[in-house]
Amino acid sequence: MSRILIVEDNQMNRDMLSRRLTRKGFEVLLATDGSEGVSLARSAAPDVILMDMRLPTMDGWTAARLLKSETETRDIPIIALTAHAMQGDRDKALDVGCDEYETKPVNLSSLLLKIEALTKPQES
Amino acid sequence: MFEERKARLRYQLDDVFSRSSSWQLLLLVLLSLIVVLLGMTAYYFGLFSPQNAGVEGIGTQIDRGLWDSLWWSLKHLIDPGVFEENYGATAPVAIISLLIAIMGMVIFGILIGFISTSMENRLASLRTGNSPVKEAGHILILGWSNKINLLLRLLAASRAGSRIVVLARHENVRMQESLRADGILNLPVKVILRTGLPSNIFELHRVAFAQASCIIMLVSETAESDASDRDAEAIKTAMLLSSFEGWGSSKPVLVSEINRKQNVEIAKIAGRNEISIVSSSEVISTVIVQAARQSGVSSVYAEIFSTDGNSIHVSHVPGCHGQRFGDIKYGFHDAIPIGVCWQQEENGVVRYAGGLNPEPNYTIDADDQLVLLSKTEKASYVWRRIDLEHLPDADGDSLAERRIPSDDQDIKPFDSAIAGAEKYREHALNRILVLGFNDNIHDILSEFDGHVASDSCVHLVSNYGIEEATRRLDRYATHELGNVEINFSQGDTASAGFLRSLDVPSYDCVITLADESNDDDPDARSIMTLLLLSEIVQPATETESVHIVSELYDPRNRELVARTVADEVIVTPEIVSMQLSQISKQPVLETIYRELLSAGGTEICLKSAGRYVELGRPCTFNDLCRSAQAMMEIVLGLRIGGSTETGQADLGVQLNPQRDEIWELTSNDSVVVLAQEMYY
Repeated sequence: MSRILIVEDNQMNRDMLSRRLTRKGFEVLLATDGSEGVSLARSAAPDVILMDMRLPTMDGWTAARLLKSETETRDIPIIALTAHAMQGDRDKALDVGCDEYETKPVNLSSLLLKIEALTKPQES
Repeated sequence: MFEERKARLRYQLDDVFSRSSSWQLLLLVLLSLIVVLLGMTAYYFGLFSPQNAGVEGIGTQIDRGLWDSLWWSLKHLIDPGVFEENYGATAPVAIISLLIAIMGMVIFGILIGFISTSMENRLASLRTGNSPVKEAGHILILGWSNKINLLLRLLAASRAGSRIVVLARHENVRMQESLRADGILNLPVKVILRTGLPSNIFELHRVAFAQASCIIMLVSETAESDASDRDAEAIKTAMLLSSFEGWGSSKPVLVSEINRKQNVEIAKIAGRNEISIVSSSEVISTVIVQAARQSGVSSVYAEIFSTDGNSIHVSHVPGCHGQRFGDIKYGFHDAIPIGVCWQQEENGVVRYAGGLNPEPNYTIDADDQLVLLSKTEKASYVWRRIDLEHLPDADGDSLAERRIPSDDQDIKPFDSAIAGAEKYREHALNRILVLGFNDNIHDILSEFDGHVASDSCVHLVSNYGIEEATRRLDRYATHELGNVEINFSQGDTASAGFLRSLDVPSYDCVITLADESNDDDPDARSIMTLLLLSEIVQPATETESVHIVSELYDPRNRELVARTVADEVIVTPEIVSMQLSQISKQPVLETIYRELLSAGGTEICLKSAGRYVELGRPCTFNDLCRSAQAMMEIVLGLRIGGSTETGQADLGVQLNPQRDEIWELTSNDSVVVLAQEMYY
């Protein structure tokens, strides 16, 4: 069972996504801002991080950059969550090291495919 | 020694008299008894001696002893006039008779005074609202502010026949007068006013809070200038209520207004997440900023929060279990599903969780409730399964080829009209002029900061000098504004010359706030400013008009402002009162309203009709729904704009319209949708 960290300040988005992922059998961890997300990523070592980009205290881009710069968290795949209409946010997210992006409201089937692809063991 | 005893006796007497009226009455009875007993001592001074045998006032029919003495003494005490009947009695008896008569007059004088004072006190108590309330199942409002009359009106509209108890610091007479002047006393509810401190548990018991069906806490108007201070009492009351364990058969719904947005967290902690919180500054600032961004959105919010138009309801709908969210909308003829919610336990507290505008493939679970936009609240909503294969659109095409994809397919635009749809562009907000100043200004600026481009400028104009305005702004500052640069000007916003000097037409948006920076009535000043603006911005209407948003405090002034140049009129106390009233009926709405109003979540937007359908071609509500769904949006209604060219009247916003109505939309028309975060 994969462990997924959702970093999202919007309560309803958090509720919705965590419910759907839990239903699919994932263990879900929740953080409400970038700094909480970074410390939870360090301590809980999730398999995937779903990171909203527009967050209070520390935004998603800063948090992603920080996680990708640290040895113990750099291998955790990060999927950026951005607004449907914000192409700029997605490009910025990939620039700071996010591995994928997904638009909100999240299309679960598409998200699951991305999670599967990112958590699949690499063929050597 | 004597003086000390005398002082001690006086102290004890004072103590007795300062106690309740029953003690005073007891003292009076005791005094009467002593006087009667003293009067009976006339027996030893020859009351029944042969010399007094013929005296009319001395009766001897019973025993010429104890009972005849008691009778003689008692009748002198009760009726001093019988002294006259002792004519001819011996001197000692006559003297005792006179003394008892005098004491009788004193005692009856005290008794009359006592009754009179008690009645006065009782009337005063009723006037000042000190008497206890013996109600159950009532609505209890704690606190008094400019929202109270609006709130009572809304409660009367949605819960006619209710008994509403108000506990506030204000004098009963003042509260009564306010209700009378506003016609509240004629509404179909019984309003009971009590004076007292809402954060005092004994006062709360006096208004039977444990038996109430619903408790609404308002932030009271006090002399404190700092709005944060005013939250202290609401937070203290929230603590009292959340820690109380003696609720009756069912715990009442608890809703609290909190003035400052930054106090919401502490209020949540104080209320142990059992109290729904409405932050008035947050609600006001978000609605004002949303109205500044999009023309028409304030009337959408006004209807959604109201009790008489299309509003939000949460309900289990039989038959929807197992269906996909995107499919069910066609099965309702009088409601629009806009989200789902469910109850979940967190840290021992059950709370509502949910989401608005979920993806169309979301499968509705057995414990899911639907969030619906509908005109009336219903005990049960009727949903019928629609065969999408045979549901035609306005062109006669079947929905079958346009239905949402299965769970393993991506959702893509499927309508040719959408492929060529207009890009959504928000109303540009680079230069904003704010006329007036009040306590919500910092939250308004913070909200702008979350919505505008990084080089935006807000020009604040008020009666305050730059130093005073900065000081007031800094008082509530919690973080630096990243996108907005603020400029200050001091001046009279009701002066034509000064307004002309501001070059108003050069701004993208003008906001007239209910101005508290001077002593005038805030609404009166706003109206004067808007009248002047009507003249000033008139020449610019041929090119591009300035979007003007006006805040008012009193709904009675709305009609006056409607004749001015204001595009959006927001009666802010009314919006907050509406939310309090609705949440007190359905606590789940707290989360939903917060989501609707917060930047970055699901928002209500008005977008041009050309984005959804081909303009000028017939279309139905279902056509709009399908197009919107492809863009992850939910259609709530339409705004049929007026046109001088075609003679089309401005029909305003129509939420949840008839499903069989066919429109030919033009470039003046907009579609009201629910969409995920639309940052600038």
